[in-house]
Amino acid sequence: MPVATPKKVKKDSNIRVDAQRKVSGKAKFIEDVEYKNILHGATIRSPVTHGRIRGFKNRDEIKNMPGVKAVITADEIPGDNIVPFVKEDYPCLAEKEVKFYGQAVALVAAETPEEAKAAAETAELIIDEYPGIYDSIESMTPDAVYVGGDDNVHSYFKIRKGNIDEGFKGADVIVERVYNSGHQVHCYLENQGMIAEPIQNGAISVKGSMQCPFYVHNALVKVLGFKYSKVRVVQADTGGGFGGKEDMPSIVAAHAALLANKTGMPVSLIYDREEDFHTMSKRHPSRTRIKYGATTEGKLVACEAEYIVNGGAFCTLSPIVAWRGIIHITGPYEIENIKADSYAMATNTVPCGAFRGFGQPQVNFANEILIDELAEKLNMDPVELRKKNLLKPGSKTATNQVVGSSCGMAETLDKTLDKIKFKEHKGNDKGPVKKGMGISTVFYGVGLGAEGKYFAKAGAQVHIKEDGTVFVAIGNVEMGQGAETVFNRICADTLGCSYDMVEILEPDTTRVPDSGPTVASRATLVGGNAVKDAALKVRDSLFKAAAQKMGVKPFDIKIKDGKYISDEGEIDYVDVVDLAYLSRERVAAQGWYKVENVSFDEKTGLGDAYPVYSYSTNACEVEVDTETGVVKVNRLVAAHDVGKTIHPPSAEGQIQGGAAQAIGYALYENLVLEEGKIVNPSLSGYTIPTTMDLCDVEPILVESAYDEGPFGAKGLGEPPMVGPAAAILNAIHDATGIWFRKIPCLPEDIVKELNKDINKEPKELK
Amino acid sequence: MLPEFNFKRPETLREALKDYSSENYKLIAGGTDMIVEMRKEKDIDYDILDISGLGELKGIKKEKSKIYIGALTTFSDVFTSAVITKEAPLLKEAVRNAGSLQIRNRGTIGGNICNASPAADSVPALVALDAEVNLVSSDGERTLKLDEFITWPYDTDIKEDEILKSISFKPAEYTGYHFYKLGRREALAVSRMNVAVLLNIKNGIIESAVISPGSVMPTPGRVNEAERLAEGNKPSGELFEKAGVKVSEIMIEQSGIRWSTEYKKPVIEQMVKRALIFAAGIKT
Repeated sequence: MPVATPKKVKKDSNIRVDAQRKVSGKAKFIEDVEYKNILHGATIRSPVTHGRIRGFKNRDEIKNMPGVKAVITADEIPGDNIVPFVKEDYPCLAEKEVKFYGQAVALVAAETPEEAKAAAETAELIIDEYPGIYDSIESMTPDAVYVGGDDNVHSYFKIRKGNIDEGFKGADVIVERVYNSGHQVHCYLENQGMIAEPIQNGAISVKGSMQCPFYVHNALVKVLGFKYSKVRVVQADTGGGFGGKEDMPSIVAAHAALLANKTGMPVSLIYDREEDFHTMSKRHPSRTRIKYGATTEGKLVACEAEYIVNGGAFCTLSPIVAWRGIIHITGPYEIENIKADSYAMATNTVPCGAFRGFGQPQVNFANEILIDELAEKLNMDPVELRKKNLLKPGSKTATNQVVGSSCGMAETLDKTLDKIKFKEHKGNDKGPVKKGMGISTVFYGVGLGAEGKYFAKAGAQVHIKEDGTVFVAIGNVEMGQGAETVFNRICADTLGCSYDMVEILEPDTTRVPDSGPTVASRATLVGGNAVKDAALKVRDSLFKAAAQKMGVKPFDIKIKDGKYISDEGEIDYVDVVDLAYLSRERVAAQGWYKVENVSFDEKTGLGDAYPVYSYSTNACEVEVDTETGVVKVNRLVAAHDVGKTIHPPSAEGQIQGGAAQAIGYALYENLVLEEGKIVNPSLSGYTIPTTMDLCDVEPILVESAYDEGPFGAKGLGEPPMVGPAAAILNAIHDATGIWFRKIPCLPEDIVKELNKDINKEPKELK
Repeated sequence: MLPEFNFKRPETLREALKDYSSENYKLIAGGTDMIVEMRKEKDIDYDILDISGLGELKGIKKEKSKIYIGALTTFSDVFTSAVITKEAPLLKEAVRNAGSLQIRNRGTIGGNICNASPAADSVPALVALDAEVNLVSSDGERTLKLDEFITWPYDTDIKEDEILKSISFKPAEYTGYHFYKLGRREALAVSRMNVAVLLNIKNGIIESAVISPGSVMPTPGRVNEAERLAEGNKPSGELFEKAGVKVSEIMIEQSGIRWSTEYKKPVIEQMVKRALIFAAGIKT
């Protein structure tokens, strides 16, 4: 049996595949893409939070300004004046009414960015100002100004399980509290930006910073009134998304495309930081009222919760955010009797949308403090209380979904406590600086779930070239989270080639079928499975070619260390490719994956909400300076059950980055709105923590394999952001004896509460 | 977006003074405050006189027992200066965490003073050192006390044709010093409050105390009432607590009760106390 000469197997680097081009500055973000002749767009925006548009006072003047090539208002939109999200309420350009400060009303294109901006700033709109409503609770009152949705409700969901009244009757101890959280800004490094360009056959091509090329594609079809085949969307290297580039790029792209369509020239539309702050989505501010009932032994018997988020002026993704919130609002516990309601309210503020965690950080912050408050009332260790109630394989979630075998909940808790050496301090340090420890536990439904199942699919193409190198086309994107590396590993490990042989192509909607969005921690599970499916199909050709050569059956072949091996010998991967080419086997294939078996009954709120859940535990040690109110997180340990890890450094990076963002959410980030207008729309006014403020986050990877996942993997993008806020506030309680129920928890809040406490018994709010 | 503007970059102080007296110029030195402000404007209807090339206004020297810091000396130059390290470590500490490294490399001491932000990091330390500002115009020179020069937030007593040439002070007599900055984060943060203190302790008794807070009063200045309280006494936690309370009383007297007072009052008290404890080198 002839065996090919063994070639030196290249020892693969464990470095992310996108690292080099990014750290060396070679990556081309949309602002780096150069054109010889290109126009620059700018947006004319509403100067008020609510009003009726009467007209455009100086349109002719704007048109005649230096360099200006086009001015576009709503009446010139060739297709529908709608950017399609969950509902069709968000106009591409405001026509009659403006509903938030900074809403787009008109567009200009000019020869230079300065000329475009000057024109936009010179524009004067005639607007009759209406009273606005800015608070979600006020928006619920009967005499509130109408903003949108159904009586200002963008969306409503409920869960009814068991018998809530009976449940609480059986409880020995009941605690009920209200928790509030503020807006959070994504603060991606790269602002929103798109370049639109008319291409051959009357089509428009758009390239830019985005998470969801297919959403953008749909929006362009709608707004331009084009056929699907006359639109092309390509994702450029994207400098962070965190959800902020899920739905919003559709607006930016539609605006750029309208200008390109009208002028017949490429148009670049790049936001500056202030514009991005004022107009792009944010994390929903929330009010969560939650009530736990438990027996004296610590068994949770009932939970009632109400979750109200401020959705802002338009619906965008609020329904799904509020849905994810309510599915998880009772915490990672098995509870028989549940009543939960969630409302996304319309207000005259910037529309809120997707942000890492997607409605879950708000509710986790609430239920995970409440569980500690309950433990205090029961005079029980909060760890013990959790252990008595945590979900495990076979448990039922709030929606009556049976937890599958991939559930590392308990293991994440044990490993976290062990690593941080958890013990409660109860603020017994001498001096003004008090230390404290806190924990939080999280379960997280991976992917879009039952309410987003229409998008729960992905396609990919794997195409092996003559020398064994591979092109992978996939519709899910790299935005800094490591997807390229994950797809690379999944493809290479399936084919048995080395990592450096696999190239991930830039996502292009003309090259792969609609793969759904790159959100909800779904890229590894759904996109990864599509890549694997395609790679397996091509591998069949390789098996066939190798089998023929070795005189065995294809199923007799195994892959090990870059070789195709049978009892009759072994052949190097590249030589197998050579054989496949010689025998003209198929060397390219489409892969497909769709998520099945999810359900949600809107009447009861019960069903198999997500295909699988990820589990995590966060524990931290904080130092509270009781005299200045400054809190420092000294240590943060986070253990995540990820199914199986595809690329450990990226997974650990996700955990660390998510925790950093959560520390900012809990302690620093304070977006201030006055009368619906953001007053600190900048990175100097809106404080995010720097590396000087952060501790080394200590990640732990727990592996409880998920059979459906590629190589057993689940999802990890969002969970690291979900839990730390509660752990931090629980630690602050441990240090000071005070429950803080609002985030951001600022030095002012701490000093205020501590000074209130002088000469008083610790408060017991009822 | 930075609007268009005209600018000129003179090479000598003489040339600069001549231009400055005859035309409608605004001065720019490091630009770390100016450029930010200019970006906010729609049109710039003044011209810019870029004095950053004037070597005569740079550098630190000791002359006749006085320290002179050229107005165009950057924060980084102050921080690394051997003279400052030896003679005025309080000032070194004050500039240590001003802005970011990039800002410290460009931002100048003179600019920090003339911008007159209540949150300026160098000013409380310089006021503690009894610094004077040396101003020059085509008509000649004059010297003012720094705490009298700054008249209101973002306002100074500088005349239209005057340029700040240098800051000078006599090395203070002290046995301990401290600069306490409280920002919203550990780096790249504007001071929410800060305080510079100097203590001169002889034979266990505080002979002199200097307490110079920033971002607390409308204008920079020492809090003499608090200083008197400390002087003549043995350093102790209780004594410094009283000094802190005095500072907060004066703050409310001068600035009134604001939304931020609920936080600032108790916190400035503790900051003053901590700074004095640190400067005295005592344990509590």
